[in-house]
Amino acid sequence: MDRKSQLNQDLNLKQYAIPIETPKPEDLTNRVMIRISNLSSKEKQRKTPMKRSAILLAAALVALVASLTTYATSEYFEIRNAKGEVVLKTTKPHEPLLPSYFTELHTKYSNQANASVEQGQLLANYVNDNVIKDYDQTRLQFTYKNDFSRYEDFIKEIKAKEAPLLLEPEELPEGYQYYNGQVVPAFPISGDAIYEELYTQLLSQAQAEKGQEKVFTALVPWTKSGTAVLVYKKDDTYLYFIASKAMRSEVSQPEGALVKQKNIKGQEVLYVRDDGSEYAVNTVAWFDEKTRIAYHISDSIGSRLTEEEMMSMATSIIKQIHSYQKE
Amino acid sequence: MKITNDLIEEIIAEVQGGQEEAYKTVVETYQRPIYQYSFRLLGNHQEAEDAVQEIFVRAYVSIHQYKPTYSFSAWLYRIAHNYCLNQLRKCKQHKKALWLFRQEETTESPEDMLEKCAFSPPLDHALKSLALEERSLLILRVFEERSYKEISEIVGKTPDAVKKKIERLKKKVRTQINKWEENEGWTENHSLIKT
Repeated sequence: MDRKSQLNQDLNLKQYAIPIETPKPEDLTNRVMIRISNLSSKEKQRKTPMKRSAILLAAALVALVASLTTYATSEYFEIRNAKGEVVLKTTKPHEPLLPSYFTELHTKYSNQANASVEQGQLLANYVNDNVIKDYDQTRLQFTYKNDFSRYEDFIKEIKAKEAPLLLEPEELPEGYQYYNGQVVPAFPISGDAIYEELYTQLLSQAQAEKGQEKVFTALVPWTKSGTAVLVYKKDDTYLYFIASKAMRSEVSQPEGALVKQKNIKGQEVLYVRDDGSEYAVNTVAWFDEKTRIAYHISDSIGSRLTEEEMMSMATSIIKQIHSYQKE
Repeated sequence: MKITNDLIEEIIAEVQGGQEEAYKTVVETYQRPIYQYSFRLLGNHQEAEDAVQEIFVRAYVSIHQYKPTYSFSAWLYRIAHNYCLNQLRKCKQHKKALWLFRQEETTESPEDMLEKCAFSPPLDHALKSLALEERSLLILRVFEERSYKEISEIVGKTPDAVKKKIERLKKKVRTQINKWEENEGWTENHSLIKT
């Protein structure tokens, strides 16, 4: 076919095209650049700060399981195992880079998802909102409820769900009472067959949705736990004990915080005290190499606990773990 | 400022050197044609928007793999071509699954139907008779006005093979359009779709 006939044929087909209305260029460009910036931020900052609201702490530690480490500068502490691998370190607190309109929207959807979860359940949620997707590359969010108002029930659940071993210290600081225990389900991870099935299912529901619904939910069967949390309360202050299956652990070291490395019964431990903190005044953290469980004890602002009281609780828990391991 | 191919190559080199902000110019330059291409294939504004974002992010993530042995435009369109075809395949599987589970098909509103039309009915009908890859080839040549050389770089075939294939496809589509127009009596007064 000669070039002229070819051109005529192309023009002929083009008449059947409909002019396409493209979105505002700056909208698309901004969204792409935000996602790219988000990717770059995640390369540099792998961990979100531990929130001090009781329920969210456990979820923050679950993220530790999949986090990658970046090595600390000389001003931060590192604890290495016999192979020389860093198993516990302090890091600069990660500043959230998220605008307030995102966090407000995120909170709204989280509340909606949380409202429908019942005791013992783990739910996968897909949020069909472009603002959320722009800032958060996680395809699925998970909500759960597995709280125990009695310590005895918490212990039964720890055994039933093979949760990390977490026992109440033999001596607690005066006035602190058991408040809540959680055995956190192990969440499916991106790439797992169940995660991908859930994502496909919820995405289909979202795409078929003709109304205003933005949050799509599915029940996730679960039998094992990755994290156990104990919360104690005295007046308006809290004590949190968290045990989480992990590859390694980190603890925030804000500027000006006091940090000490100690050894308790052969276990290397880090103690951090930050009197100006918005979250915790005292934190004690260690990583049990044998069981690959990361332990954190922290209090909340307003706490008057001393270093000695924090270390006494850590000692009690470590001793209990050691005697359990000998059985 | 007019963005030439040489300038794009310079910008890409900057991005490869770690200048993230330089990528903005790349997105601004190519987002419209990539959006149009995606919309013509996927037939839906929302999916086309999602596709554009995904395509540019994927291109950024693999930017170090780009070498200027062929044009950046061809490289980008290759990502777009692969992405859109995958989406269309998933959509087909989903529809099959819906049928298997006897789910009711949702009724489309006129707005939904209109949105799905990147082409007038005769061409839309004709394109649906093609395989997904064939549809993409035709769109790249006729509507995106890519050269045979560039299309060959996008789909990984020789320019000659691409040219012959596209000629056959045009004939096939023309035949389908003629049949449709005879049967459906498409008139000039197709006010639903404005050209």
